[in-house]
Amino acid sequence: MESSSSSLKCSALGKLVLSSGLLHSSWSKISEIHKSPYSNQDSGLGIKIYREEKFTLVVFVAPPIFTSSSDSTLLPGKENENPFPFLCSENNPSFSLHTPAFKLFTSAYKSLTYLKSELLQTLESEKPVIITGASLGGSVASLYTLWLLDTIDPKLKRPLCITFGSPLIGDVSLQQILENSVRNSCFLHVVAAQTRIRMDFFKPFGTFLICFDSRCVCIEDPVAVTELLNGVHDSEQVDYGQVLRRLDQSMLSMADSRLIPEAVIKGMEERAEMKTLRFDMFKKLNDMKISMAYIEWYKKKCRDVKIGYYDRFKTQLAFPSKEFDIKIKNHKIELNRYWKSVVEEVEKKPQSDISILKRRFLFSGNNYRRMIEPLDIAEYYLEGRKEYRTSGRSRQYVMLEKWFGMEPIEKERRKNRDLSDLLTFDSCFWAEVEESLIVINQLNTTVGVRDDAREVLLTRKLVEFEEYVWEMIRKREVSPEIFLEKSSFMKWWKEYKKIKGFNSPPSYFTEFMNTGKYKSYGQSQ
Amino acid sequence: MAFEALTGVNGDLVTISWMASKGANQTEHYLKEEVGGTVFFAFRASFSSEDLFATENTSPFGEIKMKRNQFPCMRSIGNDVDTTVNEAFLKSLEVLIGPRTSFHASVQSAVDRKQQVVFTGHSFGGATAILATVWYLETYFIRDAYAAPEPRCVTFGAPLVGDYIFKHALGRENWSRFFVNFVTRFDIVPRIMLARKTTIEQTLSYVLGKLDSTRAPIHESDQVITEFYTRVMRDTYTVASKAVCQLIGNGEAFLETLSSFYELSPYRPVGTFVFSTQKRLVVVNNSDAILQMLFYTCQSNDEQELSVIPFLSIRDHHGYEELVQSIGIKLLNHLDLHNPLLDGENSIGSALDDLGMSTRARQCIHAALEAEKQRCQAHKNGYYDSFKDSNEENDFKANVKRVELAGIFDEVLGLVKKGQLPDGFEGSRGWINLATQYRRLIEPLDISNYHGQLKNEDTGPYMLHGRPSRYKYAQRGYEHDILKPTGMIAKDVFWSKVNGLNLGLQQDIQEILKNSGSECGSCFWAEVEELKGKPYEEVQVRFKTLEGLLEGWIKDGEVDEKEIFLEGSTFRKWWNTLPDSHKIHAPLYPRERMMDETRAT
Repeated sequence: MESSSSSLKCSALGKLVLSSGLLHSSWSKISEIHKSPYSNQDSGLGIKIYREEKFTLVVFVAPPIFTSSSDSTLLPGKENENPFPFLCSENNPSFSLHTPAFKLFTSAYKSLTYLKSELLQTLESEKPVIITGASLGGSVASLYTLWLLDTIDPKLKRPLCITFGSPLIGDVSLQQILENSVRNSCFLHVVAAQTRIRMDFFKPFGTFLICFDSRCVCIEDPVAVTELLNGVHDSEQVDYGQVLRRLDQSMLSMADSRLIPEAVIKGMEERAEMKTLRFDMFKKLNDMKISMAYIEWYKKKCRDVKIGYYDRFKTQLAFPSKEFDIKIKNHKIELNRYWKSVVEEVEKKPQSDISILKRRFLFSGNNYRRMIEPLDIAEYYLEGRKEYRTSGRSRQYVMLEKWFGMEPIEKERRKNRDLSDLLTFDSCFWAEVEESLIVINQLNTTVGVRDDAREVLLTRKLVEFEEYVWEMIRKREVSPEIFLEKSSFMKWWKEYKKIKGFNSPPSYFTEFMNTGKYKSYGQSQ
Repeated sequence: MAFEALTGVNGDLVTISWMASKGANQTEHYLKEEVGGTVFFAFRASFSSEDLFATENTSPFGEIKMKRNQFPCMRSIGNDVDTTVNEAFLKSLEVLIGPRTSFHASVQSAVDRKQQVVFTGHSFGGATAILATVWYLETYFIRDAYAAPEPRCVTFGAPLVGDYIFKHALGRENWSRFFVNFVTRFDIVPRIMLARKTTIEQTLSYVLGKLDSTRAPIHESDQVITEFYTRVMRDTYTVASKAVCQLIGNGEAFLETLSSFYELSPYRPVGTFVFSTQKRLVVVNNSDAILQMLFYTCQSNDEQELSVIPFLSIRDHHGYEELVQSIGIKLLNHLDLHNPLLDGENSIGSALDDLGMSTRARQCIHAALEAEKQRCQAHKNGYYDSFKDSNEENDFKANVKRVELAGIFDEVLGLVKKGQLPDGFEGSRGWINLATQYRRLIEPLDISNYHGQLKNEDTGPYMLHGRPSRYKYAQRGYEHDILKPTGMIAKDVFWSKVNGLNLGLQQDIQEILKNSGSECGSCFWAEVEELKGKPYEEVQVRFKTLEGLLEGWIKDGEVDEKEIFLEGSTFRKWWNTLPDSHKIHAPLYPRERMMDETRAT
């Protein structure tokens, strides 16, 4: 008795696919077209739509493949040269496609565009769509499905592409792109065992139904698929009608035989194991919330001694005194490591999948950015470096900010709210403060001949910063912590006040500061 | 002896049930039989297709949702979904308990005399027996007022009646043990409901005619029967294969894509099944394993056997007399977690040989039992205890603990939603109490954190977007538990309380109270946070509702009265800003502590 659950998985999924009747529905339409007298007459692409009761079937028919058909076409990530720009990910900016299939696809681009809008309507009316074809027809069906998938609202039912003995269409890059995507689940490739599919350049993706004599198995693992499909027969010569009939006849009888070699199963199991060991961002999210809770508490404690957590962290970095401060540094490292990996995982996904990311991820990520980035900034300037915003920011902050900005959220900001726990909206705020302090330093250390032009330039920078700060205060988007006695911002203000002197005209900001109004900023009224 | 220990019924009870079931076919609706203080209710089997698929019903399997106010326990708490059952079967129950029969009165009188009741039936009469038992459990057994004794339900070749939630809810309430179903090896009827209505519609009436023993005899080579059998088994095969894929967690995204292209029967086995073969009776309790057996016991070894099985599938429907007589004579096997040896050497193995189970079939059964084992393990791993142990700290780490607890709770909730804990877990009083305690203690902290970090300004009101599903879940479990003995549902109770406050027309009030924290006592603070700072006139109704419900919450322990009336509490501060005209009429006004405060200001 085979004990492995992998082999049970493959066989149960195979049985499900077989008994669902989908293969029969698809194949009967394909063979109907192939038998009709009009087929094979022209060299173009034929498309036929069948509206069945439960689903809509779209059949692609293509001329037979010529022998020299292993050419590939490289598609760059640029929009105008690639009909599939949305598939490119940060890690895989380009990929190659099977040339004959791609040529047929582009030759019929116009009618395919029309078909797309028609099918989208069908899907929106809750009717599922099957896209199918045999041999090269199946390859074009796959390409078309990839193209269609981009425009489908993730809430709708996904279409299913069923191919019979079709050549593979994409290279290893496309395989990698799809491996991380839910789109991979939309492809079912039916192939007879003992046949051979060219895999030297092209690589499999999707689920394969491999048909043995009276049994079939379903496999998703691309390596196992490669190992199993290295037979001698040409897969395009197989009569799939006959293959399906044989499978059907033995459905209710017992003949269970071992179909997959033990070594292949073992490999599959090992790879499955590796996959579960991979970074699980959902599981770790909660641990990260715990680290955040520590830092929240740190922030509160700092406030009690009249120093913002930004400045406290900066001074403690220079002179670590308490164990607690070191712990905070460790939590920060943990959090950075985690979010860096999350962002990397997400970037592997095709661009259009990112929107599916769960909301709570986005909010946690945003919270993380606003809370932790100031600490990174503290480290950065302590090391004497400059221009954080343009050259010092870690990628995860940039991406998290970008994704958060893309999310449509209706904000309801209320006046009179106590802002004491607010995290400053612009997580680079402290970098701006540091830059401005540097400018002040430059102004104060002018030696020798007065350089008016330089002074004007530097002063203008200071005024720009003032305007930036005032805008945030006005919108109540900055934490009241910046006004704490020992904060770097207050240090800046004292210097700035001196530079401006009493001659320059008062601004809203200077009045706000001079009259002490800032002391009641962010208190509930 | 062993038989009774495994099934909860003894041979005599089964024999009387069978006799009564046979007798019921001569009646219009049901037969009542009283033997030794136990009252047997047997139901007539109907063989007309309208009694299998309700005529007006357009669902692919003739299914319909059970009404929550009539069957408040028949739902999932974790997913908040009601049970689905076959509409035709439900209709026969409705006729039965309606004024046209004496059934309701007969059961009532048995309940009044504290007699044990047994519901029984052969074939489609068995379906009625199952639903009648559920009705009895909901109407009498669960109600404190009756203290009704435990019922029994004994069916012979009955079709499946309800979906996964039906099975889950009975398991949660620990009621599955009341159901025993006898199935002869090839009997088609227990499998019929696994087929799509459209695939069997045409031949159904013909086959039902053949199943009715009072009609003409059947022939081995009847092509219509073969066709019918093949169609039913094909669909059964799809259901069984899909179940295995889910049990071993296989290709989830692909399964999801695939699932929109076929329709799968929602019906699942409930209670204990006793399968019979020539030499043995095999007892199985695990619903997943039973489902696999319904398919695999019909597989054939060879072409010749394959050709006679359709005939046997009709003949076996009338094999129950022989089965009942063989109890105590045939060998008895129990297929469960403790006997998972599926090889041919021990007695379980031979039992499976007798049932014609192939190697692959055994793997499927094994997967089903293994899944149950994992469910129990998940339970034993002590989610409960790790939760309980850490529920009591309250120093600086409260915040850290809060997040830790949320993590554990979410993990449990995930398991519950995916059905990876034993059915009984959610119903246990210990868990419900713990979840309630957790909700009351921690939710206010979450609310304060939510508003403290001004998340309501980023994300919207707490009740709309912020309230974690773990609290909604804990609230549902709590309400289910306290309302069970009354037969009422939470929504109705809430609205009757609100209506009692006489604040206006119910539909206006409903609109105003959408997403209001008054829905649940532990959301008290969320409502206060939402209302405070807004002009009194604007939030008058919402505030009066909150006030009106507060007394009840304090009494139930939902809200800690000491805390909300503290000098510096958000609530008290806000109360002080309210106009005097409101305060004087407010239900809180007479309270001593409030009096002091209002006089002082």
